Amino acid sequence: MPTFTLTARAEAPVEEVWKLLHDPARFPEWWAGIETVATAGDGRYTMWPTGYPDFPMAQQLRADAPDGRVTISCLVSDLVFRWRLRADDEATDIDVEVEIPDREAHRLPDQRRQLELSLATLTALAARIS
Amino acid sequence: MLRLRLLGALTAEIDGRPVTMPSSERARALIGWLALHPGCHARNTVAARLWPDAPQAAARASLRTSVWAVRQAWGPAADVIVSSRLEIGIPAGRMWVDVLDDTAAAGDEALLPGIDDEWADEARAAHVERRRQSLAEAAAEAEKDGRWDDAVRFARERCRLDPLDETAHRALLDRLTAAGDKAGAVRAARDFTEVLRSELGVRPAPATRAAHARLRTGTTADRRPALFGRGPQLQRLTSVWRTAADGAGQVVVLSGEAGIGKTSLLAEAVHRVSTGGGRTAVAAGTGAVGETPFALWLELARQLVATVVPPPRGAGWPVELSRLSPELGARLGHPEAPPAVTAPELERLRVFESVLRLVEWSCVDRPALIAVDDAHRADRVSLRLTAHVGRRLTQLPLLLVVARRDRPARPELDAVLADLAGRSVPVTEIHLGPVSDAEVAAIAASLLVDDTAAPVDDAVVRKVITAAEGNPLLAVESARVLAAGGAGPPPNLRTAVRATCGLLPADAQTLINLLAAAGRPLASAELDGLGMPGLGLAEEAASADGLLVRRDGRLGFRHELLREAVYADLPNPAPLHDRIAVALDHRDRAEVAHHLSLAGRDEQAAGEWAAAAAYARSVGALTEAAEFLTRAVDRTPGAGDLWLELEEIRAWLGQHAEMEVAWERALALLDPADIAPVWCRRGRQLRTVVCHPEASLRAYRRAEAFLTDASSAATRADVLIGLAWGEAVAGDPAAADDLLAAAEAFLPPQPDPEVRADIVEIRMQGLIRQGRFAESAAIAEAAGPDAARRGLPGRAYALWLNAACALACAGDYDGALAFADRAVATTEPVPVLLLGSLAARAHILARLERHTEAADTTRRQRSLAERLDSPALAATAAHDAGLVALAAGDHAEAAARLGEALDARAAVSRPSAGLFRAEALALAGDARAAAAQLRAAMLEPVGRADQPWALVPRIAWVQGLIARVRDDRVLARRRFEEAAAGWRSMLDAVSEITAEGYTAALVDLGRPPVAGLVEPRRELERVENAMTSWR
Repeated sequence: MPTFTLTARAEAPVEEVWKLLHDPARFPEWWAGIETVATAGDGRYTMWPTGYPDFPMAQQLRADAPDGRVTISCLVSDLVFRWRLRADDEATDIDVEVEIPDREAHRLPDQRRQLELSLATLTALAARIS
Repeated sequence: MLRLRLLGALTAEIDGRPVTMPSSERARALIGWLALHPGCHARNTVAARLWPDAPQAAARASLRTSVWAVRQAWGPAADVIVSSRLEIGIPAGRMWVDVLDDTAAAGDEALLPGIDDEWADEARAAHVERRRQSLAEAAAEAEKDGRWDDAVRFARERCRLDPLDETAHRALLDRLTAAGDKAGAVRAARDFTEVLRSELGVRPAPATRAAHARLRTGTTADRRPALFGRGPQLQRLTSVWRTAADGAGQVVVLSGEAGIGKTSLLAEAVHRVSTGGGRTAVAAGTGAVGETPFALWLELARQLVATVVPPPRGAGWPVELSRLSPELGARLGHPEAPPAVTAPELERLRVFESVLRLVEWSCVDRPALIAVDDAHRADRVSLRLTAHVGRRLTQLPLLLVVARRDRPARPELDAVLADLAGRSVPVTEIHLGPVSDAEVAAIAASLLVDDTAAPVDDAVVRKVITAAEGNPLLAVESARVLAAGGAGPPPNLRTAVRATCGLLPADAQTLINLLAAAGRPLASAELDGLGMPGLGLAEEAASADGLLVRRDGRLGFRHELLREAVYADLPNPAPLHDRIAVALDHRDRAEVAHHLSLAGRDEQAAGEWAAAAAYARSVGALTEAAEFLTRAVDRTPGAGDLWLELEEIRAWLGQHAEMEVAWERALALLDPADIAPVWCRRGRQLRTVVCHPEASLRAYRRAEAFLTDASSAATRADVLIGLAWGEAVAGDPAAADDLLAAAEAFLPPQPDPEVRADIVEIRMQGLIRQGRFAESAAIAEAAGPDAARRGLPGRAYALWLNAACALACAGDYDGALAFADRAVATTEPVPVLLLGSLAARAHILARLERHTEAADTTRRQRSLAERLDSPALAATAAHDAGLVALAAGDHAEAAARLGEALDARAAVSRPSAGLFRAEALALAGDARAAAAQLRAAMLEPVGRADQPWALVPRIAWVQGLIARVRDDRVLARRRFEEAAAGWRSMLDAVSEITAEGYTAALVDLGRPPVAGLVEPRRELERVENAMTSWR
């Protein structure tokens, strides 16, 4: 299964980055490609990709690893995003590992570009609101 | 019927009428011979025995004459004699002979007086031997029963039969002393010495001289050995006892090298306590043979139960005591079986609690001394229980004595003793060092002195001193060897024991070897099981030489080192272990398995190991259960059912990798026809032990796929119920009801109460998950009383508690409190369940703002958790107390308790607990600590039960409180608005939030989440109130 990992640093406390990662309602503010999100209030949410207002994609935010990673799994395309945060005083180091199913391997370059953009937006947003 | 008396005068009677004896001596001899040899015999044989010097023809003629004389004297009565040309005799069924009847053969009358034939002499010798054996056994039986007068009487009769029998004489001395007639023993010793001198011109054998010496020093085979040089230690022990007896419980640790005298000192202390009116119980660790969990405390419990007054009728703990052994509850007047409990940890806690209650009860009417001897050889879980009791004895009139060797190291024991000392339990250490040369000399002198009153040779004593090096056991064994005529003290204990054993009769050596293989003292029934005809004499011989002693009715080595020495010398102990395995009390399956293994009977041993594992599982000793099952599968690797059992134990132990290995082995070995039930079992484990709903559902679906036409109704029902649970908790809850209805079609009209309760719980879970909280509670209202009535407190508890939480979810806190109160009432007799009930009650009271009652309830919860000695339960109780304090506005207390819970790794949501603590710290005005706690909470692992989506607004809330403390109004307002926005976004999904959160907490944390329910509306009100009040 193809994977890739990206790293970034946010000049913001880990609490701010944590909130943004765990609040699906705010994904459109930083996650490139997500236009709209509707939450069910219990970790489940539905997102509409940019340019596809009629194509809802159910998602599941699940944080279930003992090493502090946050796993966000897309229930439609089976892409899995695993985020790990490390506090460095008032800054935060962010790692994200992405797993792409074999049938979606052709999307890897696009996904990588999109996530690079998302990371940059995330770190800027976290710094702005902290 | 012809009745013949051969003892004393020869007489006969037939059908109650006396018959005249023939005047001929040979005719009377013939009668005697025929009486002693029932049945028909060749005439030539009889003639040869009675007329051995006559030619055959003459002997046969004499026989005919004697038969004629008998017929003349007896008349028709002589018809009992069957006679033909070739044979003659009296059939056994036609006569009764006194000497052949054990009940009539007592007394000292001579057999066939006046008949001087060789065969008569042989018969007389055999009769005497039988009498001696019978008297030895009668004396031993009387001794065992504590009938000392009878024991002495039988011993005296035995000595009268053979006045020169030294073994009989020594046995008489022991019994006279035990009966308290020391003067009689001294007289008997003097008389015996004189008889030997006058009749044979010899001195008594060394063993007899040693026995005479013990009379002077007060030491006998089965009583307390004399203490040499332990005056200060005994005084200290006695002083500590007095303090304990006054109501301030104490612990004493007796330590020292092997053979240094710990057991002797302990025996003296026990004797003094017992004679002073105290209650005592002593048990010893037994090493490898005593691996059975709770073996040591089972023995202590048996002794206590035998002497305590019956507890009150309503006491629940005697029933729980039956988990250790059914006899315990029965002896206390509660023969009923304890209720089943599914979780092994709960089993262990219930056993611990019941034993503690027994110990407390034992101290009600008098002070008590409980001793653990050879603690370094005690089983693991008994050591934990010793610590549990030790921690709670400070308010009891109880002295707990733990005797141990310095070596080998036993880390579990060291941890117990360190824990007690660290908890302010008064612990007194008494170390026994080497005794002085003067004391060794006294030991030697007591064994070397004889009745000639000659002074003991100093050179010999010096040899003993050199060999002993201050060790009393070595001093005794060296002195014995020298007293028996050895040239010098043995170079080591093993040589000394070998020398002593070498002098014993064959039966005594066999007995000693068997006891060495047994590894512990044997009870009378077990000794009988050895099938040794000369057991009594063998015991006497071995005891006389000081190797064996009887204590509390059990026969064993005087010291463990002696046993080890004998065992080390055995060239092939396997057959001995085989005999021991047959003779043992088969209730202790691990011990039987141990011996079968050493006997090379692997397949039988495997069965016993499996049974031992089942017992260990039933008392919550999971580590031992896993070890036993591993041994079983090592011996029978093809036993799929054993691999399945091991899989479940590994699951309970949380050893998931090993669990999967065992599972794969089992699956590969089991009959394909059994696969569906096996997958069912797997599904059940994943429901109960591991609580992994998705995996459980998958397992039940596999089971369903393997169902065949031949599958039983029970299996089909099991599958459907399992699927229903999976759907209720992790799948489509609306499908659960249909599945349950289908399952009920396969159940009998009156299903097992456990199954019925299971179905009810699943229905409740399904309704909760759909947000139908009130309906869920209504089900519990209907089914809970039935579960309680049927003696299923665990099920009733689950129903009441889930109902309480369901109504809390629905906002009906008064209704929730009513169910919580019912749960408390139902679980009062079961402390481990009561904890959960108290927790729910406390949180509901806090929610109703009845803060004082809530705090009282958490205090009771914490006190109970501490008594149960479970760090995990204590940590959870601290968490609950923290939340209740936070609700009551006691922020400092809340921060302290929540910190305690986090440090102790309580089984709660750590991010949530961390945030609550941060909130408490901020409200208490400590911004720095609150910020640090907030940061720590962010770095905690996050799982489903933590409901991370609900943490987002709470983080903002805590950030706002911290900003408020720092007087940063702008930031505080921003954060409060952020929090409020987050809670507002959840208002429309309240029911789903609550239902999913409920299930997640139940699955991941193992308890209904009354403490962790998320209430967005209430949280929003709190934030808005804070914003308003701060303007």
